[in-house]
Amino acid sequence: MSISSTARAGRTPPDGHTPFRLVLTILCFLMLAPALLLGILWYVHMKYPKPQEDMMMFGGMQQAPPAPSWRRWLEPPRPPSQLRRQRSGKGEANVLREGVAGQGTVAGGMDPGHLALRELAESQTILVNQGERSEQDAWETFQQSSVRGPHREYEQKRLRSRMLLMKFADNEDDLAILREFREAAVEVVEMPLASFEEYYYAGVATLFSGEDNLAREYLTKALDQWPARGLGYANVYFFMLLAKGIEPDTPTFFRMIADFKETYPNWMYIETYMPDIEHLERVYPHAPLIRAARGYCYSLVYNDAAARAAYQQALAMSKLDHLGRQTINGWLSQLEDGPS
Amino acid sequence: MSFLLLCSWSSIVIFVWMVKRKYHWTAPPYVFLLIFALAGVNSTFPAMVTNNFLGRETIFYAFSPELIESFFGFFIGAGLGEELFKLVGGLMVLLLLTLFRIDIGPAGRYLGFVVVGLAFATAENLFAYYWLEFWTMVHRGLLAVPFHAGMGMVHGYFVNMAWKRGSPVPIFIGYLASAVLHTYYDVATILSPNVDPRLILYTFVATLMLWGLWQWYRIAERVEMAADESTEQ
Repeated sequence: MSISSTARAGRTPPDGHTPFRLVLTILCFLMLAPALLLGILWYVHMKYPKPQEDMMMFGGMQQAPPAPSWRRWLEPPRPPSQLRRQRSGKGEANVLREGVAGQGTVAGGMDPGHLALRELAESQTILVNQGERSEQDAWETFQQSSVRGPHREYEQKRLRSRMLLMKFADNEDDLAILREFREAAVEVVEMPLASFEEYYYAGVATLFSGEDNLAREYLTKALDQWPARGLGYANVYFFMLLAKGIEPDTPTFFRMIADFKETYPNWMYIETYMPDIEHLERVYPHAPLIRAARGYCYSLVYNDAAARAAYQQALAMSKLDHLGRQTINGWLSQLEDGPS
Repeated sequence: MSFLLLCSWSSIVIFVWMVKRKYHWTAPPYVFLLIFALAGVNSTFPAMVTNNFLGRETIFYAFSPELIESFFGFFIGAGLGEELFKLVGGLMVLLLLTLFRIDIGPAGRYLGFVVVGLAFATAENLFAYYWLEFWTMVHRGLLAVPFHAGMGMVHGYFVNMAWKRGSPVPIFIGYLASAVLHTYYDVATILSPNVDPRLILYTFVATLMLWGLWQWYRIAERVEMAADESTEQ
């Protein structure tokens, strides 16, 4: 049986020196060394303060984050549990006020190097979007940036995803671009820093690629994490509604479509979102509830003829279940009889 | 749970291996080692504050594109800062033990500082690097955690020397040595951009560990044996 060395330690003189001398030895270091470090920190703070415009490193397009108290030095990226709490109504305002980037990371708590990379990537994305830079140039500018750090890979993938998103938006029918966009968007969400926005794009990319199961997974995360209830959230809601129709999760689909008008502020601008529905009809030719969604949206803007045609297409499909058939028949009779 | 394991497996392996290799006849001072571990965890917070302060309030941001700024960012933040807080954490425990006239012997002190380093590395994985990818965390387990253990060995070696001489000078030397080594570990890949970083870092950490384990091999297991050695010298 072993004997604890500490149990009998008191009997042994500690290396021949009195405890008083040893305490003095330790205290000497404990007082001098922290003072040395504090002195160095104070000196570099006084002598080499960070210029405010340097916070962004690449042109200072954004003000430095507010620094109201010492607490900001302690602020780590927010854990997912905190983000989930913020999703509730109480937290929304705070998230929005501070600005969200990454997985709940507030701009004020972002690593300066990460912030610089994000700034560079965003500025390049804007310039490409405005047609003022070619994608190749933008990509090269980002690659040449000398900012190192662990966030570089994430920002690089995110930038690639954004570039392809723009290309995809301009060429929705180009399958090669869609495939590339889908690959890039999924690569980004596989990284731990992925934000609600990345989940949204990955959801859209996979939905248009015919992977509705994966799309629902990403869109669910996007809906859960989306920190506001504006048009951005409404777009996620819109694609989730269609994804539910493809599944088909008929009760959820009808529940969501009943709230569509309230949730989607641009419901009356049907020309903005109808191409997406029609595109998905081509990707999922045997999904009756997509036709039902098209009919419902037409009925909102009193295009009864188009609504009726869409409902009839849905009813003609064999995959429509009983609940779907019943509800669409009800909508059809409302069209015939006028609003009840 | 699996994430906790991912952050701490390397610390557990190093600790268990060191204990198994040394304590054949006596039990390690587990209670005091636990206090050392708490000190190690606590030392991560001031280290985080210092690193963030440097990055946000001064030009010495560790990941700055400017080499000089980056170098001093690592030297002041990671080198002088992190090593100071680990050393101070361990010394505070030793101070308390000395005030209560408890001597855990050279092996206990050495292992105590290693435990501070391991706890610091684990806490750093948990609090500062939890967002890294799986394989990066595995690499941290093979590099950063043994490295912090090695820094603990440097601290333990010099604290034992200070104990033997009754002078604070070796602690200062140990502090500066660990600060320089830590800075080298962080900037080695920047200073040698054409060499595979894995080659540099794994070689460096392996050398450090070999030195530390050699020192560990030389230390007597029991307090009495160490005292006898000290008296003979």
